[in-house]
Amino acid sequence: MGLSNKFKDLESYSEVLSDGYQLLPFAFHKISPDKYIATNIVGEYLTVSRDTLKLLVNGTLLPSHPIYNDAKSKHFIMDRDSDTALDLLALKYRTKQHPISEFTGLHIFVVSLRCDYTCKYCQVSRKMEDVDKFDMSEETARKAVALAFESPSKSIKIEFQGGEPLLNFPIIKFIVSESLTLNIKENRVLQFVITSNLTFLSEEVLAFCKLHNIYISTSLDGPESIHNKNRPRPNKDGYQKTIDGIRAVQSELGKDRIAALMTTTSESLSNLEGIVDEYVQNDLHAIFLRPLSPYGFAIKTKQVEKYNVDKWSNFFKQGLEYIIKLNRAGYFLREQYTSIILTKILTPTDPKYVDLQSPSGIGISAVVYNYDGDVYASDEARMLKEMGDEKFKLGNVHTDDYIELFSSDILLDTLEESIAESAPMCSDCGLITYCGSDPVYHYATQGDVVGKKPLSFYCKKNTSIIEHIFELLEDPGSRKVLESWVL
Amino acid sequence: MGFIHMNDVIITDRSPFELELSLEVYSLETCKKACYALMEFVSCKISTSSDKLLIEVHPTPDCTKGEEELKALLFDELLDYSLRETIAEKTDSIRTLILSNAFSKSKLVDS
Repeated sequence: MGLSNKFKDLESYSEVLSDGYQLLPFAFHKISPDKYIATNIVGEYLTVSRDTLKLLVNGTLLPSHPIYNDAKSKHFIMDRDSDTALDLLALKYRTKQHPISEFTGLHIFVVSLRCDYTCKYCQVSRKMEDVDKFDMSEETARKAVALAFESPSKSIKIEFQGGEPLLNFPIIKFIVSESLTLNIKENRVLQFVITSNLTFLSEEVLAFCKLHNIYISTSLDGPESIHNKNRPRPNKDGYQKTIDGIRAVQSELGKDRIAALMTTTSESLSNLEGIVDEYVQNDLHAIFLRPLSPYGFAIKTKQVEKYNVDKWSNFFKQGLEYIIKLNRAGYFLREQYTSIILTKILTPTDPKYVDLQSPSGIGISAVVYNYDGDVYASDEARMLKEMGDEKFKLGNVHTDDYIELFSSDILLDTLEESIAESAPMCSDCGLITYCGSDPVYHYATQGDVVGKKPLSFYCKKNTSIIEHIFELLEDPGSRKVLESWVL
Repeated sequence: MGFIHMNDVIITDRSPFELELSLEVYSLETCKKACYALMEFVSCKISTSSDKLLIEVHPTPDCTKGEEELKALLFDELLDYSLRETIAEKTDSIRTLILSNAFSKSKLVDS
């Protein structure tokens, strides 16, 4: 076959023009008066002007237009040459939605409510009593582990939380042992994470973590002054204990076995570079810039009222700018929330982050087994319970079986209402494929699981962050850094 | 509605105002969505009569925007939502086709 046969003649392109194109489903979001982001159901995007958007929608975009081929290859339109467009789009959509069928992968075990810290933003009502009243028992743990393995998920991640989970280290060992025994038969991909303030990180704990390849997650709020102010311990040595713990984990388990995250208080807002530098100085390569959550002591101490969404968004954007600058100077540091959203924007996969899913990830991506056997649809649901509201309690490991817990009305009704595609404003939003829904947050802040999005911190925060990420992607230097953060 | 200057303090006059639109240009659904999206700034009462849509716009107590700015925001939202309506109409059947194709091998779709 000659080379000439590989190309169509000019007339065939004219035919395409005369036939026009079929519009494929997409949504759009206004970034500025003349700049729109158009997105489709699989997360592909186009940046267009308002005039171009109108041409596209009205069916008058010419094949000679600079974005025509882009619109075609990214499945915003199909013309008579697009033989496989619908099949490809369906395949990508199925890939994007696949995590839902996996069901619950993250199982959070609150092994103790006791804690040696008195953090002013603590989202849980910590207990100081040195008694076993607030520790998980073996009987409860055994039943919770059995429930975790009833999940159809091929991957089971067991995360130990508190209070301070290492205050009940014997039950952590018990749960790991039970899980490993069950997994001989189950053969799941099994992972363990301990979320700890590292105060009680002993040689025994480190050896156990090394033996079972356990990952450590901790909190580092920034330099000593901020960290100790946000996270006070009686001896005012929380910062030093955390840094000592981080170094011990890095040395004994490996640098990739620990990650830290920070919580933004009003004190953090003016100390951005110092906070990020603290991560660099401690050889940490991931940071999670998190706003306060409206639960527990964060409400009681009125911490959540000390900054609004605009102040937080500015903090986040400045933080991102500084982190990108450090990356460009040669130090790899990933901002975790940005990574999750970037993965949704730049790949057909979904990282299954509970707060950025539709339907919400509560119960179906993560579930919480409390120290007393109560089962909650999410960590935030457990926090709400500590404030006296059991709205999202699914049941108890001692009285309810798997079917009763995971087909409870409260879970199924909330999941149905959390489908962003049918929520007011979200259903038309051009950022929907990168966002999600957070029914527990909206219930806590607005008394309604769907929430009024024009008034929602969650909506404003995510809109602001996603818009900013699109701006950064337009700059080649920033884009190169951001592409390296994709999960 | 406008701005009243009193001793260098700018106070926004939050009087309600009305907009009359043609139902041939904007659907009731589009109108509802545009008003909903602006609930941070305005509360709206929507009514229809023959071929007209009437929106009674009440700025919220915390709203610092003037009448002209609110009108501009509302018209922008109306245009955006009517474009979205056009996309939804033009792609309704193909959306169903894509979704049924995506899940054709799962047990989620009745054969």
